[in-house]
Amino acid sequence: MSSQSLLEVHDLLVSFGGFVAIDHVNLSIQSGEIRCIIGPNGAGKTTLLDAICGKTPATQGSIFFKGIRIDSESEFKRTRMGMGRKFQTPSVYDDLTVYQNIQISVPKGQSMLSAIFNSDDQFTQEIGDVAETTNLLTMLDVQAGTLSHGQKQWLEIAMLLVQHPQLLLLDEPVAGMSLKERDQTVDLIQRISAIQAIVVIEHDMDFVKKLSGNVTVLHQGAILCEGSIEQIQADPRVREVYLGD
Amino acid sequence: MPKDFLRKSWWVNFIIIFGLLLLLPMASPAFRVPLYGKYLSFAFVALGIVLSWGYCGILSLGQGIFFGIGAYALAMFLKLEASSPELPDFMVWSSVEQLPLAWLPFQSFSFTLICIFVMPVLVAFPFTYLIFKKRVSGVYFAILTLALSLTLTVMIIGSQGGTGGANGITDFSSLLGWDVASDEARTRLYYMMLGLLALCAALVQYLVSSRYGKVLIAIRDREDRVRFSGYDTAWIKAATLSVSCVLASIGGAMFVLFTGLITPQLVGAVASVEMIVYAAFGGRTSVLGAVFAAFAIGWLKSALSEEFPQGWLFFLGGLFLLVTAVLPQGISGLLDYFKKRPTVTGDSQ
Repeated sequence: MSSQSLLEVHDLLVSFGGFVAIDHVNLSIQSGEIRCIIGPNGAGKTTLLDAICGKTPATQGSIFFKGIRIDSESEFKRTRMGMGRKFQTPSVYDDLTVYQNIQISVPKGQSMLSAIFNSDDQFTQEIGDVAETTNLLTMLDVQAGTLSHGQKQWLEIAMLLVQHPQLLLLDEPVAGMSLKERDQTVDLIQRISAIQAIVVIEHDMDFVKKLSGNVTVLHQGAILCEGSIEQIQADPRVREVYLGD
Repeated sequence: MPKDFLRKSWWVNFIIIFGLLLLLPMASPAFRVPLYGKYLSFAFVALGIVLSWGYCGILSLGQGIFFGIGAYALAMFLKLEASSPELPDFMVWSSVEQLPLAWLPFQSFSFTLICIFVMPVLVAFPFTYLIFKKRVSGVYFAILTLALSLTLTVMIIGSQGGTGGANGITDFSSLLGWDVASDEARTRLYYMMLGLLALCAALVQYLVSSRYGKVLIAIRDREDRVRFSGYDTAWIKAATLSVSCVLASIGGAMFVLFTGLITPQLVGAVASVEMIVYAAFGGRTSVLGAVFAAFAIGWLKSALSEEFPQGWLFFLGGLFLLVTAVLPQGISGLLDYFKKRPTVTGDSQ
């Protein structure tokens, strides 16, 4: 295991009652890297993120984050170590305002004693900062349930950013977005990638091109190939998987 | 101080409700006062249910267990005081010759008090933490707690010599030498309880208004997401339920003070479901609604059972259906609707 990688997935196997969803995958993410994971439906992309962030237990293999083995740690411990996960369908708290959504995601607020005894104006500065980054500054007092689909996606990203994670796992961040929102999201991801490593799952090849990161292609739970977007598009195996020749 | 806690409209309602409850004994015959005390003892339980179910989304059908802990602890103490130096009468009838080991500590009043406040946490926290850690929640948790309260009832009835069995513990009237069965003492106890209830209501309102209250709503609506925001949700849920259980236990002790008895039926499944109805009727996210509903349903229950002794349960079931079908936010939701004021923390459903 190389010590300089931020995330090191080694020989990972995830099976659900005999069905192998992730088949001996090795993956290594460096600090500050943008990595796109693509693949046809059912390739195991989401399951791979689930295993990394702890939503789904690994059947076999090991996962190292910042050099520490984490594959038997609980989700909240992995989050506290600096890992943030955005889900495919935007997961925000509909009954709370945008401000409150971000506020309860602030890591310093996670102690229950502080949550009970401190005033609710805590962290205003930090919340304002991430709201500005994610184009939500004017929406702070709006109930999250009334946001548009795209804004919910940004809110969930804002909730991750306020935790200052070193690794962001984004599952289809532009799903259901308008073209303009997509461009803003590309811009957003590129800005935040200066600080943290990002793993993105995406179907949309244009979006992947614009992100200009490294690409990993998954097929039937295994890694088909890795490289730049040009290399991937030139690879005959990828064409075969996608076009089904 | 959280902004929501300082909201003026809440404090106005608070003063109206507790003001009316304060004036009540002066406007009614003395024999009614202990009845009011009995209704309000369920308000403590309902407050706890607002916190654990209304805000945190944990539906526990076992709150009767914790009501029972407080009630039996105080009843055991009072019974020992009433019968000492002899054994309690029901033990003699079951030919128990020596005070059971479990009863010994209840000769001390301070132990009894500690038991009322601490025992619910010792029982609820470790047990529910493990359950929540295993991701058992929702209806499965409700079934589990329902089964436990049923089991407890059967156990209490089965051990006649130690618990008074199906008859429960009764026939005691003095607390530390003070005759609590007299009208005057019960009026005084009523005011003391009202003070404690007001304090507990303010405390629960403070909790749900704070940032911690927002975390509870988040857990209720999307527990998965909260885990991925770095919270140990199992711990928070177990702690929240523990607070709710302490409130239930206080309610149980109050019940014993005003009625002079405790029976296994009050610990059982039906009683536990009834407690949920109080919170649902008041509006499950409304602290003052819970106090109001406990009193109103208790009063209705007395009035109706005097008129139709057999019909009361149908009324309870009908009320629950009505609230579920047309009033998801209970009485308080109805009031909000008429005031055209959106609820701050209401459900989206």
